[in-house]
Amino acid sequence: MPTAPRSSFVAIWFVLDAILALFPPIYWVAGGPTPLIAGIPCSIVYFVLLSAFIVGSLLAAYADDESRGAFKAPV
Amino acid sequence: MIITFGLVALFCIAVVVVLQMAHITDKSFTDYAVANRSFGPFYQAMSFLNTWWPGGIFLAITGLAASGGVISFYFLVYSLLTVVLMYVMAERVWLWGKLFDLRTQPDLFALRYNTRSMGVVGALVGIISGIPWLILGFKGLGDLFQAMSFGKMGATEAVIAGVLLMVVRQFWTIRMGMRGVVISDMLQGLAAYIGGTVIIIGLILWLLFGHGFRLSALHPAQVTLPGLGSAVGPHYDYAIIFSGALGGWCWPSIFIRLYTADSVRSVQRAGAFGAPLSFLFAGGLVILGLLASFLPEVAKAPDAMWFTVCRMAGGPFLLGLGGVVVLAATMGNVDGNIQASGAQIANDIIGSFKPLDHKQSVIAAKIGMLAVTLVSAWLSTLAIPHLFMLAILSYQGIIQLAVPQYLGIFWKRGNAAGALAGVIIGFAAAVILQSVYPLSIGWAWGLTSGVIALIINAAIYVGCAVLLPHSAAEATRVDGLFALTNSRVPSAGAVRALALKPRRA
Repeated sequence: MPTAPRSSFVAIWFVLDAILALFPPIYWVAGGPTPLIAGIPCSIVYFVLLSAFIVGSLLAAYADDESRGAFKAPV
Repeated sequence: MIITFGLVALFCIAVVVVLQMAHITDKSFTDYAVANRSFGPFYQAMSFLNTWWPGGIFLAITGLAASGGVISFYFLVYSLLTVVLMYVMAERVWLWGKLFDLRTQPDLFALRYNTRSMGVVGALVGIISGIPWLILGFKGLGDLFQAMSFGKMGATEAVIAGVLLMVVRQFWTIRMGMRGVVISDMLQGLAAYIGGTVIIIGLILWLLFGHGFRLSALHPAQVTLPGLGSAVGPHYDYAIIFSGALGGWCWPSIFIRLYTADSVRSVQRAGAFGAPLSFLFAGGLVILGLLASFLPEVAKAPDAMWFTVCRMAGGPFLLGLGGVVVLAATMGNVDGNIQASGAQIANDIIGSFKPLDHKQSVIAAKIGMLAVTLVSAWLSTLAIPHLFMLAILSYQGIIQLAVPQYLGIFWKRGNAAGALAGVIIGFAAAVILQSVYPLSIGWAWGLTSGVIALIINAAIYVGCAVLLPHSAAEATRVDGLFALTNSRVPSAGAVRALALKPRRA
C-alpha cells in the first residue's frame, strides 16, 4: 500500500522557511538595528526566530514522517 | 603550556583508544567506504554535525560576528536549510543507493546519467573544491597550536605541528575506514558540540554579567544586513545563504552520509535531532562574537577571538578546553573530507578506467587519501594571503554539482550532455568570475560568482534536455528509475532490468 504523501502543513512550512530566509525584501526590512525587541536589536531577533522556525519545521517533518508510516517500508 | 597541551593530549589518547576498541575488519569495499549502512541515529547525528561544522567554525563565526556583525548568522541559516533540502530529497537518493549498491556521489551520477564520465567530472570537482577546506582546517590547527603555546610557536611551526597531528590521526582513519570515522565522530562530536556549547554559554554569561555588555549597545553597523545601496549589494545575503544551502549536499563527504545510514529514517532523524544543537551552538557563537566585540583585545584580532576570550575568562585551563573543542571539530571535518576523497579516487576516477577488486580498491583509496593529505598539508605551510577567498571559491565551485544532482533527482529530462557541459562550463565560469570579483558582483546587485555560474550551468542543462531529448531506451530507463521510488518494495526484476553498465567487484 503506498505511503501517504507528506502533510501539506509540513510542505507549506518548508516553503515558508525558504521564503523567510531568502526573499530579499524580508531581510531588508527585518535586518536592521531597530525596533528593539525586549532590548535586543531587530536583526538578531529576526535570525534567532527564523532559525528556531526552521528547526521547528524539521522536527514537525520528522513527526509527520513517523505518523504517516514513511519509515515502515521493509528496505 | 603543560595544562593546555596536556588537555589536548588526553583527548587524542581517548580518541585513539576508542578507535582501537572498535576496530573491526571491513569485509568489503562497501564496508570500508560506507560502513555498510549500519549506524543508528545518534551516531548519525553526531557524525553529521562533526563532518558538517569544521573546527575553524569556532574562529570563523565569532570572527565574522565580531568584525562584520549579524551577517555571521548566515552560517546557521544555510546549515539548517541544507537539512530541509535533505528531507526533500533523501528518500529517493538513499533508495537508489541501496538498490544499486551506490557508494559515492559520482556513483549516483553514473546511475542517473548512464555514463561514467559524469562520475569522473563530479569526483574531480568535489576533490578540488574540498582542498581549500582542508587547508583551512590545517591552518586553523596552526592557530590552535600558536594560541595554546601562548605565542611561543611560530606560525609555520604551528601549522606543521597541526598537520603532523592530523597525519598521525589519519593513520587510524585509513586503518578503520568509514566505520572508524563515524565512531570517532561520536566522541569528537560530544566534545566539540556539547562541550563546546557549554563553553559558549558560559562565555556569554561571563560577558553579560561579568562585564555588563549588552546587545542593544552594539554599533548599528554591526546589527544591519546589507540592503539596497550597500557596498556588497542587496542580494549578497540571499546569495551566500542560497549557495550554502544548495552546496551543502554537494560536498562528497556530506553526501556520503546518506549512504552510511541504515535507513532513510536514520538520516532524517540525524538531521532533525542535530538541528536544535546546531541552533544553540552556531547561534551561540554569533551572540558570543557580537558581545566579545566590545573587548579591545578582540577588536584588534577578531579571527583569534575564540582562544582570546577563553584565556581571558578561564586562564590556561579554559584555553586548553577551548583548544580541545576546536581540535575535536577539526578532526571530524578533515577526516570525512579525506575519507570521501580517497573513496572517490579509487571508486570513481581510477575505477572508471580500470575495474578494481576489493583489495585493490582499498589500497587505491588509502593511497588517494595519503596524496590528498600531503598536498593539502604542503599547501597549508605556504603563506597564502587570501585564504578566506579560497574557501569562498571552493563553495562557488562545489555548488556547480547542484545542477546535475538536484535536477537529476527531481526532473527526468536532464541528460548526460547537459550535466557534463553544465558542470564543466559552470565551474570554469565560477573560477573566472571569482578571481575578478572576490566578494560580490556589483553589476549583479551583490550576487556571488557561484550563483551567476549556477545560472549559466542550469541554462545549459535545461537547454540540452530540451534540444537533445533522451532516446526512447534511455527515457524508459529513467522512467523506471523514478518509478522504483514510487513503489515501496521494488521487485528484483525491476531493479535488474535497470542495472547500469557492469560494476567492479
